[in-house]
Amino acid sequence: MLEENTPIEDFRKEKPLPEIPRAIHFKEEKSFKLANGMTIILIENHQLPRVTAQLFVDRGIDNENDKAGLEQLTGRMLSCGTKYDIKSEWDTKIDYLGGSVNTSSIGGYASSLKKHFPKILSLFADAVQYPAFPINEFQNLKRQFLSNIMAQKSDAGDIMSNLTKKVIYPENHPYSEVLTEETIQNISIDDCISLYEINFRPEISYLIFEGDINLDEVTQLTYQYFGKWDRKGEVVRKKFEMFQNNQNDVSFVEKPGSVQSLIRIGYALDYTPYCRDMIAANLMNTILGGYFSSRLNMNLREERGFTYGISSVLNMDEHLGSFTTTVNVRNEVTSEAIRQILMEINRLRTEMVTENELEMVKNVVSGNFIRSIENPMVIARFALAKKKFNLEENYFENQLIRINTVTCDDIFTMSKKYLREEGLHIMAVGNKDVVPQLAEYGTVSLFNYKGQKIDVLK
Amino acid sequence: MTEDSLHIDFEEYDLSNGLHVILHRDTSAPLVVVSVMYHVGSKNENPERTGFAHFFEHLMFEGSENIPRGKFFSIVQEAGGTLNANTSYDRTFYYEVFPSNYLATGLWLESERMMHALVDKVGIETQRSVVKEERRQRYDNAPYGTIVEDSMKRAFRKHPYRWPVIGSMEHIDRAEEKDYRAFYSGFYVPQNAVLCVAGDFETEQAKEWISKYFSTISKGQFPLDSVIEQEPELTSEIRDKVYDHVQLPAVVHLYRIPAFASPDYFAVQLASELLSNGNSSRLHKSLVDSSQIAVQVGSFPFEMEHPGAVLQFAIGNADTKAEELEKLMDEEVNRLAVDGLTQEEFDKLINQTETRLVNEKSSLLTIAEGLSTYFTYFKNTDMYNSEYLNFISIKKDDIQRVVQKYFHKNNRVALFWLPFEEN
Repeated sequence: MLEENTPIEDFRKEKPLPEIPRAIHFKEEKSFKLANGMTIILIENHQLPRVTAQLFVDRGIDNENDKAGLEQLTGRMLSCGTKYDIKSEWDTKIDYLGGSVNTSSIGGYASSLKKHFPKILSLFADAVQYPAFPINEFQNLKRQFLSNIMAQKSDAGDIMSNLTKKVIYPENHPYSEVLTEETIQNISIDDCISLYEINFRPEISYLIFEGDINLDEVTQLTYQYFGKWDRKGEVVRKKFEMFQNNQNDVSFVEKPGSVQSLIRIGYALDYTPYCRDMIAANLMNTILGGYFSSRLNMNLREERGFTYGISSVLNMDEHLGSFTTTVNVRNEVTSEAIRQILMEINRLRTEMVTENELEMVKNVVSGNFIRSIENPMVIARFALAKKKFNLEENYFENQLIRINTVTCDDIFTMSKKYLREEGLHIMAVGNKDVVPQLAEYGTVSLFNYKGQKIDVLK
Repeated sequence: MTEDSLHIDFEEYDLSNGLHVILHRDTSAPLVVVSVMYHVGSKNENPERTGFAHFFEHLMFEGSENIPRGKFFSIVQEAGGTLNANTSYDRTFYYEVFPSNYLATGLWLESERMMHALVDKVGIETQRSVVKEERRQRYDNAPYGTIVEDSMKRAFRKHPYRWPVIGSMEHIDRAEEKDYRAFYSGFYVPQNAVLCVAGDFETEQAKEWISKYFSTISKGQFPLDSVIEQEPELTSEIRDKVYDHVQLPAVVHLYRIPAFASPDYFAVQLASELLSNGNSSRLHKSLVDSSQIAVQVGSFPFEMEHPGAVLQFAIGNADTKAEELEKLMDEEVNRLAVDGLTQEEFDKLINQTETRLVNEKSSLLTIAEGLSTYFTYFKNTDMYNSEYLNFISIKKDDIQRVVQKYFHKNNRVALFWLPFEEN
């Protein structure tokens, strides 16, 4: 679109050189313990007059068996009324102060402007320590859960999430459990109360404050609102075996009327948070599908126009990690998309990456890290990780150095260790017309939207 | 105190080619945002070629005279930066977030695509398929995905708000290279754009680079002669049923409302929040908690440059009928129109607004977008700083008044969103 009168400007031909980078500054955390064993962490940030507190109960995981959904329901029940307020009063008090409070089965958060924070924190503390478990709210919640389960039938993402649980995790693992009408109906209010009693204990709890608040204020507030919470004793944390599948298989769920196939290829694997491989394995996955110019996105989006976007995730988890790559493509190219994904996985497993490509993803990953630490919630997460996983004091300060020392050989080792040719699950949700395309990759097993195996499509 | 923390300092000026520049300096983190807002959205499109503004959101990453195809992304990524863009009915917003030592790179990139973006066949063909997949993924294949499109096309018959920002598949297929080139040279010109730099920079250095990279971009032929036809008021309710691949029925009420930031707009926004923001809001309390007939409710005004719309919806529980949902939605809106709100509810709205505005100030990108939006629509950047004042000067009775004025049947589209009878 060069116009005739546009001057020739040679400086435009090359990208400008960067200046010297400014030093990265880590916000410091402070921490202490209450007499009841609760760990308090503080990251001060006085830029805006607001405060957030996050509670994390380090409870581990457990099976729900025929009561899948118990954890979620229990977490929601904590926001359904306390010893002091029925639900509508509790809601009204929080909304009136413009705050927000959320609860889950392993914690929650409270946040508001500084001037309202003591009151908001006290309402959160009530929910955590004195939930009332009213039966009428329990019935309403159950009804909502049942409706939401029904709605999953039309949502490809929800269906894929159920299918993934059933297909990639072993049968007895908590991660394989799917909520259904039956499992929700099996849950009683007493189940919720018992789970609450097991999970919520000060000695396994971390409360992390971030924002416009100082150590004195935090000390005073936590003593006042959490100081009377009694110890309940240690809890036994369950261990689950790491698991590896060795066979490829193909699974399909029909979603009538689909104009795209939602495809996921993945498997469970042993990949724990802050393990030795973490930095190099993350760089390896970034090359494959972790940024815009990743191999998968360049191939399937920019070269072939199959999709709006594709990414891959190497998920670290202390109980069982996973690798997945997920993409929506138009029906006609379902088989070809799978072929390209498998090809890219294999290429990374069998060919060394170039220095240039590694340099690029090092910059991407370092940049993500630098941008992320400006978010105090990220520093809060680091502070928690340091305690939970016993990391060295300056672990995160050294993150950029660790990224920089990774070599092409390291990447090759990681791709052979974490990417597979055998033991891949190919999963798809979509129009039944695409089944023949899937059959190119093996016998297609059929499932319903809850991830239960079925014999024939309707 | 809140007012102080809500105030954003900035300076602004024009280059001789008409490009408006806004600088907001904040050195608390070594990051800088470079953004350009073009005053072009789907409402500027030819009705036979819808989806162009959004299509450009894709094309503008293809490269330029000096940036080979595919390099735009990699230059940003190599610098440890991130980039994206979004398109609405009224404007397109492009941005990068960089470590602050890469400011010059960001300015060079944005100036390149303003001066001579790569608008060619290869890019058009690739992005054509990508955009069609985007449409399928986000709208056609998503449950309730076309709620906005289906209600807006009934609420607007003349004004270009009647077609969706993503455009139609047919138009995307039919468009040719020359159509795209004409659109580019018509709208992507300096006097139709706002450059905003926000974050960690030295002001004099930033100004020098801005002049170096942007001042020689030629003006183009803007303004184009394009007349946008005003939409007459609705005179009676437009009612319809839409069948979709969903399981739970929903009711959608789309009311026509005044333009963003016009005198009644902020009161309409508060009325909307009273209805659906938080568990104590009117619709949530009535439909989700008391009668328990809905799983989700919402009420959202669209920030539109011309008179636009507020979308209210409720998604029912499994055994609920759309008629029951609508009955309670209407009851709540009517109760508000007739009885108004309590002082306590009014105070709540002000407290919630204060929190929301403070939270918005935590992101440089949100600030850059806010400043640019007010300049783009009103040529008055400082209106961003008077938002809080606008809200607190609203009277309790204003909220009741705007509910009476806008949230009535003859001013709305009512859709029953129903499950297909699937075998």
